[in-house]
Amino acid sequence: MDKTLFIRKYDNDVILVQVYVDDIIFGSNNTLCEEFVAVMQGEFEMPMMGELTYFLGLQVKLLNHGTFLN
Amino acid sequence: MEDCKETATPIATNCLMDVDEADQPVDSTKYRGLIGSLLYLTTSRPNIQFGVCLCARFQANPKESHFKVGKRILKYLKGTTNVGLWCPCDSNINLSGFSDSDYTGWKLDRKSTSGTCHLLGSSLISWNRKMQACVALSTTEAEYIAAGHGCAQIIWLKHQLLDYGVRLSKVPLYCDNTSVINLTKNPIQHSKTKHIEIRHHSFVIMFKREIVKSNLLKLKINWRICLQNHWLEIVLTS
Repeated sequence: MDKTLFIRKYDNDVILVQVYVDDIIFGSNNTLCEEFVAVMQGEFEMPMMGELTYFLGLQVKLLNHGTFLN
Repeated sequence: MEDCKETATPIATNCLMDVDEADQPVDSTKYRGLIGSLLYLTTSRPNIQFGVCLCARFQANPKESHFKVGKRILKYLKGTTNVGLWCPCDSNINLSGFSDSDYTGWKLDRKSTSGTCHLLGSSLISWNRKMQACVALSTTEAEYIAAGHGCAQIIWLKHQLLDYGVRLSKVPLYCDNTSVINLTKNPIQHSKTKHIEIRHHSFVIMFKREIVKSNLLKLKINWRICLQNHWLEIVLTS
């Protein structure tokens, strides 16, 4: 069981939050991401880096029809 | 090296590295410098890991032939700067594993090399290439050990997927050796197989518990993934 993976489900919506040391990556199929950012920034002092571009030494490109790792 | 030719693979398919006593020695500082720089790169380019470590085994007494293999990695890096892994949105979440081996790939002590890779739908999620820890006495044994490695990784990936709420039943493991598949279905302890270490038989247990199902891949594994009009060839074992 992964202790750093958090999943929250609402009806048909889902949000996945993966924590890695001092980084958090998250994704959802709805507006839950924005709510999550608002809650986190209200509680902790942390910057929002925007769309995922770089993680663990890998360049990530999010495209309409898939994800490209480089 | 700046205007060298590009290559599609980090190691040549017919590359059999040896101590090569008779060959011209090269400056060991330069050779170690090359290995060190490439090792630094492995964090963001894990696909060269095996090739770099292969070269690193000859650091004590590097020869011209070893240096050539190291330089080929540089040519590969030059040829693959705009290549990456493609994970399409519309792919399914069926996990499948592939295993292959290179019998006596390491000439110094006749150890074989295992190669496995795992696909989730059509995206590559994990791959492994490693010299086996024991000496395999037949191609079947080498393939059997490789399939065992692949099987262990499938179990790990299944647990990982379980965290995301994906429950998979039987996962196909593709293997290009008929004897291995027959051996898992009916592990007869005849003289050719009884010496295979007990731990490598874990594959049989997984098969019986229906965690994996073995499939025969008739073609030699040598498939390509199209990535932004470039081809990335995954060669499991050279």
